[in-house]
Parts: sequence; C-alpha cells; structure tokens
Amino acid sequence: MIILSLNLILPIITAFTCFIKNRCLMHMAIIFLNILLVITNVMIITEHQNINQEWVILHVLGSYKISFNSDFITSIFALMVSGLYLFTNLYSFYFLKAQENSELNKDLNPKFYFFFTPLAIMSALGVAYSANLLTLFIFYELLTLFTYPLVIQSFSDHARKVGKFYITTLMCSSMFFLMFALIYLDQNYGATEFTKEGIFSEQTSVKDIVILLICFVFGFSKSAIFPLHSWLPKAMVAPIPVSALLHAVAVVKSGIFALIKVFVYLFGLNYLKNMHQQIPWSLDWLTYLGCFTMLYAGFIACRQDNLKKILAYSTISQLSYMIVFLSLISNSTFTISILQMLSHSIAKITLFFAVGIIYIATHKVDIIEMKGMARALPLPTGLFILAAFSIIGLPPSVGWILKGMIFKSIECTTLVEEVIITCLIISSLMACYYYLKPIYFMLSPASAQERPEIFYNNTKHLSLITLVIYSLSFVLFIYLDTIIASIDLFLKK
Amino acid sequence: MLANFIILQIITPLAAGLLAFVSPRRFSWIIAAIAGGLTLAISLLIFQKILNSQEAIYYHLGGWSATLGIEYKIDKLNSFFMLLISLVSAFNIIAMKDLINHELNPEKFNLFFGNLLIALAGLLGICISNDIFNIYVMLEINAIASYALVASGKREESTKAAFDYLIFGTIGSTMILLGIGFIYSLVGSLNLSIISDTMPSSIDNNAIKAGIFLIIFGILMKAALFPFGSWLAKIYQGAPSFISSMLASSSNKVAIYLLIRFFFQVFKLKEYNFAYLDITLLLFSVYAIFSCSILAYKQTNIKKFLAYSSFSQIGFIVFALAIANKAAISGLLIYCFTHALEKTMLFLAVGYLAIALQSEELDSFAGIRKKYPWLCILIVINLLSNIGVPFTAGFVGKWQLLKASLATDLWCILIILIASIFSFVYAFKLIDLMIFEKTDQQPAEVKQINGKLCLISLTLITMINIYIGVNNQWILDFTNQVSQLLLLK
Repeated sequence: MIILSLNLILPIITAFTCFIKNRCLMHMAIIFLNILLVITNVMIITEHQNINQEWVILHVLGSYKISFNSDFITSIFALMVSGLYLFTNLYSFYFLKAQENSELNKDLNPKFYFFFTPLAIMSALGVAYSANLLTLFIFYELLTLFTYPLVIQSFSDHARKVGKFYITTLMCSSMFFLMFALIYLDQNYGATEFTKEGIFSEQTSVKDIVILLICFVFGFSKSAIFPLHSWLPKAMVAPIPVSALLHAVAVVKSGIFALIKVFVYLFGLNYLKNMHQQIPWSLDWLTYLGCFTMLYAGFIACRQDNLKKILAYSTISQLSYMIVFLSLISNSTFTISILQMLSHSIAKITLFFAVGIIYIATHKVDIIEMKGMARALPLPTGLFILAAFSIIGLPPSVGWILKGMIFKSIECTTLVEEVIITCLIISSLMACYYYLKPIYFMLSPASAQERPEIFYNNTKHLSLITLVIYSLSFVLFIYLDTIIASIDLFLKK
Repeated sequence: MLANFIILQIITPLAAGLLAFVSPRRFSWIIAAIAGGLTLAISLLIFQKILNSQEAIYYHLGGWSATLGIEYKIDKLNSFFMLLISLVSAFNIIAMKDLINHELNPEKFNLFFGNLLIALAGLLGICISNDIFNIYVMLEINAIASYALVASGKREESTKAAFDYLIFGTIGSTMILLGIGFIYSLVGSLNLSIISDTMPSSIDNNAIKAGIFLIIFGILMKAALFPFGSWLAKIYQGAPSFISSMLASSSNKVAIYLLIRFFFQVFKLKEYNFAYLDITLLLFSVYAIFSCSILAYKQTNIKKFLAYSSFSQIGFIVFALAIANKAAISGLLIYCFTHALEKTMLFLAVGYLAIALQSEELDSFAGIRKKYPWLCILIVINLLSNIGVPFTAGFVGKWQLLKASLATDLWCILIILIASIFSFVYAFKLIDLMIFEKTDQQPAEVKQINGKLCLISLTLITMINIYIGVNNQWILDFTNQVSQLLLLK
C-alpha cells in the first residue's frame, strides 16, 4: 500500500525540485528521487504477489473510489516508464548544457521541463496502477493536461498551433468516448472495478460489448489508431527529450497500456476469447483497423524527409502492431503485445536520442543532409543503426527475436490471419525502406562541401547515456524467458 | 426552537438594509458583512434543521391562516437554495470590500449596501414564500434593488446596462404578474399548496393554461435562458463585477428554483405533459448550450465571455430540468450549487483583474500568470470545474447529468458529451491565454489593489468547490432525497 503511494508522491516531489536555485543540487535531487522511483517499482515487481491490497485514496460519487492496485503487467509497465524516465533526465541535463553552449533555438525550457515531466510521469504511473476505470480515466486526462505545456514549451506560433490541436484531439476524444463508456457501464452494470474475471456475464449482449470496445479504442486516442493518429506527428514540434520520453514512451504507451488494462481487467481475456469465437466480427474490425493503420503510417513514413517525422510515423505503425496482437486475444499474442511494447520503447527512445545528438552536433534533421554522418559522429550513427535494426527486426537485436515470435504465433488458417501476415510483411518491408534510407545516407561518403559541420563537440556523455539505454534491451533479452513465463503465469491465474 | 425563527432569514438582511441606508458611509460595509454572516448562519441552521426532519416547516405571517394570509414554507428544496444564496452572497460581500473603492462612487456606499441587502432579502424571500403573490412582490423588491445596483457603477456602461436591465426585467415581471392574475381569478387563492391541489381539475381551462405559460415564460426570462436572456450579456458587462457576480450566481438560481417549484410541485407540468413544455425546454436549452458556447468562444471582452459561459451552463441546468428523472434533478441541484460558486468566483476574480489591468479586453489578460499566480490558479480551477474535470464540484453535477441523460435516451447523452467538449474548448481558450501565452510587449501600467480580503474570499469559495469535488457523498444523498420528494408528488 505504502509502496504504491510512493509512485505518486515521488514524482510530485520531483516536480517541486525545479524550484531549487542551485542547479547541481537540483540535478542531484532529481536523480536521487528518480532512482528511488525505479527501486520502488522493482520492489513492486518482485513482491507483487504480496501486495494484494487495494490502496484507496478516497470515495467519490457514492460507489466509486480512487484506488490503485498492482499486478505483474502493470508493474512491468511502470518499471519501464520510470526506468526510461531516469535516463531521459540524465540525457536532458546534458542536452540543456549543450543547448546553452550552442546557437540552437532554446527549445527546451528547463523550468517547464523539470516541472511538468514528473507530473506527466506520475499520471502515466497512475494509469498503470489504477484499480478502476474512473481512476484510469482521471489519470489519463491528467496526462494530457500535463503534457500540453511540454509540447508548447518553445512558444513559437507553430508550437502553439500544434499544442491546440494536440490537446483538442486528445481531450475531446477521451471526454467523448471514455465519459460515455463510464456512464454506460455505470448505468448498465453498476461497476467499473478492474477484476480478472471482467464485469460482464454470458447474458451481456454483443452490441453492448462492441459499443464499449469502440469507445475504448477511440477514447484512448493516445494509442494513435487511424482516424485519431494525426496529433502524434504534429506533436514532434516538442524538443527532442520531450518527444522521446512522451511520444515514444509515456504518452503513446499509456494509451496502449490503458487499452490492455481494459481488455484484461474490464472485459476479461477469457470472455473476449469466447465472444470472438462465437461472433468473429466483434473483434475483427479492430484487427483490420490496426492493419490499416500499420500500412497507412508506414506508407506515409516512406515519404518523409525529416528524421523526427519518420520516427513519429514509425511509432504509429509499430503501435498498431500491439493493437493488432491485442485484438487477436490469445495468450501468445497477448505476450507479444507486451514484449513489443517494451522493446519498442527502448529502441524508439534510443533512436530519438541518437537523432537528438546529431541535431545538437550538426543542427541537421533532414535525411538528405545526413551524408558523411557516420564519419563525423560514429557512435550516435551506430546507435541509430542498431536501434533501427531492432525496430525493423533484423539481427542482432531483441526486435529480431520478437519478429520471429510474431510470425510464429500466427497460424495462417483464417482470412484474418492471412491478412495480418500480408500486412506484417508489407509493413516490415516498408520499415526496412524508411529506416535504411537515412542509414544509407549516413553511411555514404560525403564530399568536402557536403560534410556536416560540427557545431558542438562535447557529445560523448550524451552518446554514452544513449548507449546505456540501448543496452537495456539486452537486459530485456536476458530476462525474456522470465517475463514470458511470468506473463503466462499471470494469464493462467 | 423559537417559533418565529425562520422569519429572521428575511428580516435580517431587510432590517440591515434599512439600517445601512441611514448609517454613516464608513460603517455600511461592516453592517453588510455582519448581515451577510448572520444570514448565512441562519440559513445553515435552517438547513441543518430541515436535513433531519421529514416534514416541511410552515410559518404564517402575522398569524393569518394560509387561505388569506401569507404563508412561508421551508422544505428541503428551498432551504438548499437559501443556503446557496446566502453562502454566495456572504463571500461576495467579503470580497467586495477591496473592489468597491475602484468601481463605485464612495459617496453612495450606504445606498449601495442598503440596496444590496434588500436585494438579498428579496432573493431569500422568493425562496421561502409559499404564496404566489408574495413571490411576485419579493421578485420585484429584488429586481428594483438590482436595477439600482447595476446603475451604481462608476462607468458609463453601468447606467446604460441598468436601463436595459430595467426594461428587460419589467417585461419578465409583468408576464409573471399577468399569469398570477389569470390563476388567481380562477383558483381563488394565492397559496401555492392550494393552487397545487386544484390543479388536476383546472389544468384544462384555457385561462389557467395562459397563466401558466406567462409565468413560465417570465421565469425563463429571469433565469437568463439564452434566447430570452441575450440582453443580459451586455448587462453583466456593464454592471460592477460584484453585481454581475450576484446576478450570475444568485438571481438566476432563484429563477431556476421557481421553475423547479412550479414545474414539479405547483402545476405538475410533467405529469400533465403540458403543451409539450419539456420538449420545448429541451430544445431551448440545447440551443442555449451550443450557441452560448460558440458565442463565449468568440468574445473579446472577458466579462461577456463569462456571461455567455454562464448562459451555456444555465442551458445545462434547464436541460436537466426538462429530462426530469431522479438523477437529473439531483444533478440539476448540484449544478446550481457549483455554478453559483464558480460564477461568483470568476466574476469577482475577473473584476479584480480588470481593475488592476485597467482593461476588460481578453488580450490584456494574456500571460498574467507571472503577475497574479495565485489568482490564476484559482481561476483555472474554477474554469476546470466549469468544464467538469474530476475532483472539482463541476464533475459531480456533470456526472449526474450524464447518468440522467443516458437513462432518458441515447441522443441526450450524446448532446451533453458534445456540449462538454464545446465548453472545454472555450474554457481552455481562457486558460491557455492566461497561463501559456507569452507576451512580448511590456505590460501596461498595473494598478495596485490591496486585495487581501478579496483573495481570501475567492480562495475559500474555490476550496468549497474542491471539497464538494472530493467529498460528495452528502450532497448526492441530499439531492437524491430532494428529487425523490419532487417526483413523488
């Protein structure tokens, strides 16, 4: 109980450290609190069996409560968020220093960044540990509100326009669909508690379930499913550490994770499985929508020239992998969905950081200008290539193993599965294209005029941190079997 | 308890008002503050007394029986509204202290506070009275005092606004009076209970129908439902900020109260399905919600912005009234309460800022987070409550309203959800402007205000708002009881 409350208290304290005047002290305090946060989540992961008690903050609206609970998959998501947050902070210290010492736009505003990021992380952790739909909804909305200042922090006209679009899309979709789902559940089932069995019975009509599914899929629009995806590439106007943390890790993954939570705890996987067997279309529409998003985003990504934009569309495409595998509802695909979430987070944050280093050193983000980058900045380029391989699914990377698992898990017996396989192959080929294109430019030799000019030399700390983050994927690799076993255990229980 | 206790609820502000007229100017605020505090205390006592009793309390003025004399009746519904009005007025009076010097002519303080207290007495009188003509009298007392209050501002707009308000209010009052005449001529009594008893037999009479129609129409004008109340935006802008705050929070709530009383108890319009009134109200309210949200978004004057936002909220309230199931009435009452709190706070805060910045234009509010951080936080909390964000009181009302509309029909809830999005968009425009706008130009000359009392009062209002958002079981229980009472009869 107490240990769960730390997940909310520590980030809030972290937020207020930004008022410390002495910068060194501030950084130390932030790192200290972050490490505490990571330790908290590690402890929750190791002891999650013992924490069965719900932590209730308060009772509202009669039968509702704001409460938290932990489980294996929630704590692994929380550990991922808090761990990557720690490294992002380390990265952003050096990023800020570099920004001060160069003629770059002062995009990253330290006060804003260090105040609102912990609050956003708190909301993401709140989403992770929430024990009922109302709590999840509240923290989900808070996440939108707290990330808004981060998106607009450069205060340029463009950023403000994008910010408006960002908050309107996310807030409106969640206010409309999620609020409806909440009220609908309240009216017809009287409960929104998260339990393993789900809250529906055999008598529940499929129409109800499908309405609710639609509400959740579009309500959690942070998962960037097709008609509601366009906020994500636009939000790339934010400075790189923010885009990295929020738009590859906390925000979009919270959207996916909220969907996972609703699938597991509100509908119940067994219930959905039965329903899917009886009436296939009740979930197939989600599969098709995911496949379409996958292809659509991949196609747009192929046409982009800006590295950040490529990363954004690639995120959309990869997110729909998770949605597709979630919608297939079997134990193996569910495991893949979670693993994909973990490995994609690590790879994507590495990519963002590598792009950030390149941007800081040479002020370049267009792929045409990448010529000769391998020689000028060997380490970031190498990291970019490795992480890109992980996302495409080429060896040596965790992504490669995952790709294997993905293709193995689909048996190709029904039409849906054939469609999925086709889409997966096409989307992998497109991923090859849009990642290998910048890599090709980076590796190709440049003539004397084309050679990138280095404005800022001192990037070795940044590269080192990025390297450490990437090496986290090997930790994932080592524990892969344990994680799979734990998820299986979790699903069987 | 003393038998004559409940009459104190009206006598206190009325007597204090008369005292304020003749007292020296420097004491008038203190008299008003004491009277406001006493009124609040009395209404709290009455509320507490009624909370635990099942029966209504009756009081016959001067000992005359109900058929002839004036009867006062207190039940759960009107004690709730009296508590709301006296609470909001008490805070308003406290906060006024720092603003009156800037917005009023110091020579007229005693007149102003005298009028204010009499207007307050009128509002409470409307709530407490069980006699339709007495309600009209109190309505007029309140209205005439309000005209003077609107006119009391230093600025030129105030006089113009007062004139507009006079015409506007008189039309509404006249309609109500005419309606009362029709009903009295046929029923032969002015007592609400007696009228209510005779209703089943006389509802088919055309004269009664006309009377009911006139009364409802007049009340809707007073309630500032949009197509009727569109003049009011100008009046809210022209009046001194604390008077706009009173108009937007208390005056239209009283009209809502009358609407509830007449709708459910006196004329039982829901039961008789009178002239499709519920559908009509529904259409009017939907129109009000959407058009006022859009108009609020378009405003460049901040007081008009708040005025339209207020009308749109009134639309929500009337929407709940038209749906009229158990959750809807509960939601409607909570909505009234939170809306009164929000709008009091917002008008006062905006008035404060408008004096400090010497401008009411929305643009001059850009980026004031740096200069007035605390006030900005308070305004943001209240705007969030206006949208209906969790942990604020607005959420509770919206939740009940959404529940009610889903129970009625699917399209009702869709309307409310879309309307919430609209209110999010316009409220967020102001939040964005105040907090996140970066202004390059040097700020204009800022007037220093000694505003401690004002800030304390605004903080307290906001704290009540958050308290309801966090701990809302009692208000839900209470409003559910009220709605049961209303729907049973």
